Amino acid sequence: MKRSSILLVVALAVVLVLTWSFLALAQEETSELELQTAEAAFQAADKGNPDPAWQGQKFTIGVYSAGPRGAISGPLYFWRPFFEKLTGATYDIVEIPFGELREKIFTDLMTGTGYYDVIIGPSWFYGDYVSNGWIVPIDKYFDDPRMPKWDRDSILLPIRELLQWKGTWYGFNNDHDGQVLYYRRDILTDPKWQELFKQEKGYDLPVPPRTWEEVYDVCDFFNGKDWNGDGEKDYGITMHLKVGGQGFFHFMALSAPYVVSPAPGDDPTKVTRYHNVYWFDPETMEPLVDTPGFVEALKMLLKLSKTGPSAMWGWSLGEAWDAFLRGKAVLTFSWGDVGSLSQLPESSNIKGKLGVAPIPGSEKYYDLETQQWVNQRNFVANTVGASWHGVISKFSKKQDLAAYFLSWQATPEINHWNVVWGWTGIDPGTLYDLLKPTGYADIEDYVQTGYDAEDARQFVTAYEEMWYKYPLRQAYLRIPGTPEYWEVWDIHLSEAVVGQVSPEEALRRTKEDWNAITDRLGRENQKKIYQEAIGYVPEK
Amino acid sequence: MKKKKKLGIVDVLVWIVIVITFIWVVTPFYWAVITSFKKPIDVFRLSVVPWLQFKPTLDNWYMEFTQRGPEIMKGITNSIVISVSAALLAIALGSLAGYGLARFRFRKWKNQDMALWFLSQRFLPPAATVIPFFLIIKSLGLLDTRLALVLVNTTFTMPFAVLIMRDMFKELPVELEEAALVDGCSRWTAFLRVALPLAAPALVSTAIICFAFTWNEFLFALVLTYRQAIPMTIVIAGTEHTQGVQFWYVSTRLLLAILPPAILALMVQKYIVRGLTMGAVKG
Repeated sequence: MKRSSILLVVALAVVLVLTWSFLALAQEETSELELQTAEAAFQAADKGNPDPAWQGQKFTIGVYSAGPRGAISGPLYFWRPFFEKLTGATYDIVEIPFGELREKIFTDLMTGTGYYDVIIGPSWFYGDYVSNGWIVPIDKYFDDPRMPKWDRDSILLPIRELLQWKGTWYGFNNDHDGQVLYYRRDILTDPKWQELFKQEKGYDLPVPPRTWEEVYDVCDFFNGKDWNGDGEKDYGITMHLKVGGQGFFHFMALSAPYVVSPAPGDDPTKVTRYHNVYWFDPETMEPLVDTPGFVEALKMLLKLSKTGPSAMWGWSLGEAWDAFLRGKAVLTFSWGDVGSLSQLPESSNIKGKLGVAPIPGSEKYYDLETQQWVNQRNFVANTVGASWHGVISKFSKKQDLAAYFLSWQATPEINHWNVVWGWTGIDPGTLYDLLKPTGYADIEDYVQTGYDAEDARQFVTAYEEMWYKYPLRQAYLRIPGTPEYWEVWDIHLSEAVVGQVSPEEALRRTKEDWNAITDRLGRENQKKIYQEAIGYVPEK
Repeated sequence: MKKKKKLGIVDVLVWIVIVITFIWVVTPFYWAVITSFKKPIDVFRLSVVPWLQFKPTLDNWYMEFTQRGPEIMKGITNSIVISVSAALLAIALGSLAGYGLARFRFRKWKNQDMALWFLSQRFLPPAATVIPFFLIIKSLGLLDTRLALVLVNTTFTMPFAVLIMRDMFKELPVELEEAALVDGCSRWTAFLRVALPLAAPALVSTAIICFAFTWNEFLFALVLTYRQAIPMTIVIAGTEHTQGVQFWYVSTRLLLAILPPAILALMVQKYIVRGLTMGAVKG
């Protein structure tokens, strides 16, 4: 035998031995505390009356691929043994790469294959789900004595609306997404920086910044200064602005207060043709994306992008979050993931220094009806993101068992357990996640899982203020073709961010493309679904 | 005594090209190796020297094996089974078809037309056929099976095998088979005992290329598999999720995915070189 062949065989053997040694070690990284608290949650949660006929049955859940300890898919693995103990039934978890989620799930539903009984998907699938009748309404399960009871009223209103369509429930409570503002509490409350800020900007350093104009001033002031003392210049803001890097979610959150205006009269939240609308004119399906509110917002985004590293034009989520978590940027705005990641030593060195505030408002907004700017502060809550939650496929043959599982996961005890353990990726959004006196939670719930007390207080309170106290909220786009609308928007926004075209031109191009998509998908049908999705009732 | 030859300008240029090529080829692997030993917090900052700029850790490897071990093993096993089977099937069918095209003249459908038709299969964008294939495989009850991917990948790699093998058999002197026929061999025996052994290097190199095509295939694997038959390409794609691409896991999975084809290529490299250079020099 040749020497090279012997070496090859030896290398192969070493690889195999190492692989199987690692496999022999295979076990989930579950701590004793996790198990104890999970057991307590399991005991306390309502269990309904599992049907004995479910024993030995199995159903299948489709969820994006993040692994047994990853966001959203992780809790499915974690709770499986508990579910088996409870019902004698089990489930398969089928992980789907995030980028292929839509194709994979829609192919299954479109062809009636019915491989997935449950889909843990994003809220932007609803337009297709409902208009095609792919998922089943779940109201019938609320009074079913077999099902565990979950507290629907505790879900904060903007999220609750995402789980329904025209008042009918389709989704089970799980995750609660929205973008909030994260900042360096230690830096913004430092008297030295406060004094310098006042000297430079002429007013007190706002802690936290309440409007995008204040955010800009803060970022502009801190950008290029070595405020963390590492000997290098640091940044004001960090964002993910790369095409395909989910940058359009940033723009959604930023633009809402410039665009969404309160309705006149007693109820400022009433949806009219001109008020509390964001995406399209509900009478004509004409895109609003090139109206002055959007243009002003895009100009603000461009200004803000100059107060951070220019590399962020090519950044996706990971890079953008990392710059903030590593202490290189004084501010960012994003989902709840940043709050939970900031507490993990392997991802962050800012634990104990985190400040969180609800998404900023604007100093003025554009009234679509009067076509004039109104010089008044405007605050608009967002549900930007996926709010990953379970729905049941019409093609499932095990709908009741699937409903049992999703109801059980939606119970306050289990859902809150998922929220306080940050690795689950399930973000706060119910009264039992909010701190007393508004909610029912104690800060200790969060501290015992590793949160710094003040970080956790800021984190949860920011969501409380945004979803519980903000006067207005941004409509969510839930019509067929939503990902396609967002994709072209993403591209044109990027053209503006890199200076290829003006903000006006980028938004005009977006409008043109959106109209083409609407016409291709059928304007009248799209309009009907859009009206239903945002709760608009045409005036006769 | 031999005089030391001075380096000429050409030698220097050659060395520069070699060094650039080396860096070009090695950098991605180096990036993968060091990233697989970095903590997430170290991944995005520019740091390439372990121990000086970052402290290497085995955490990523440990987490992959403890949490994803069974899935990765399943992915690698599926990839190996699917790729090897598809490659073997492709060369088995491809060499027969190639031999037929090289040795027989067809009248109704001319040889050249058939060769062109096979070639057109390589030009066909796989995305155009993914839904029909999905429906066929679904109606056969083969969704989420390795057999489905073997059949589909064979379909896409076989034209390549047919064309390479046709050229290979054309290169072989037909007199060798005629001598075997004169000695009493049947056409089939002459093919098996004379033509095929002589074409072994080309067979191996074709098989390796078919193996590589299948190993890297993503689209059909994504659509036709759910859980049981997922190959490594899908496992690697799973490192992208809502919290961004987990580059530290991309690296570990990438290195694991490179291993089997690299070992295979090392084992048969002499055949690859011989197969690819056959017919390059003609007397």
